[in-house]
Amino acid sequence: MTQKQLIETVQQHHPNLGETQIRIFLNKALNEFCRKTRILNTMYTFNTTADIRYYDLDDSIAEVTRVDYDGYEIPRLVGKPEKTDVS
Amino acid sequence: MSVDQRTAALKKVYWLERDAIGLAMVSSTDSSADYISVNEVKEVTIHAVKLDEDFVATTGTGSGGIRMGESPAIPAEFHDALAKYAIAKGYELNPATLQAAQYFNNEWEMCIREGKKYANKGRDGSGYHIRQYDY
Repeated sequence: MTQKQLIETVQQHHPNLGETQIRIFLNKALNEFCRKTRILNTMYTFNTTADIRYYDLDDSIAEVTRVDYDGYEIPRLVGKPEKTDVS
Repeated sequence: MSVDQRTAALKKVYWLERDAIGLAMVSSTDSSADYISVNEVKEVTIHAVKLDEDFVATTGTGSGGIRMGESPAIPAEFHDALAKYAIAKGYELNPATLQAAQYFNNEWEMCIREGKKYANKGRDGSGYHIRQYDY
């Protein structure tokens, strides 16, 4: 269904509800559906930079399920390293 | 890939902090809890659960959100679930129609359960499994 069709479906029940309000509800529904069901999966690839520790995550990532380094799955550290390095 | 390459890769760890991913390598051979930043250029692949784009008011086609004539990326069978959520929220605005809101909320929750089953089932029809979560 397209966004237009979804809005029309909602307006069959709520003819006085504006498109903007319906779009807010639809966006909340779509985010909640993706988070709860974990139905959309993807992969992001980037190259490390020497001596840089942190790399920003894309805003669309809800949950990291696995990380490969140079083609090999690497373990997730429980907690954080004792020595802080914010680079 | 050589054994050395594999050994070097497996000394790396990652963690998540402040909307970023941290990468480091174990600095000593006895695996004591001491980590230093990675000092080489290597490819990293993040496998992730992602959110769909937002609905936007724009018409036509293109990037930057789901436009009026476009559909969300979730499977088509779950598109009407989004409408059910919005219908429920609409009924919640009026105390006199809370019963109708409850009905559509139940429909929404049922779609969530079906979505979880869909996500956990192999596309070859293999039995469904529960993925482990990291907390």
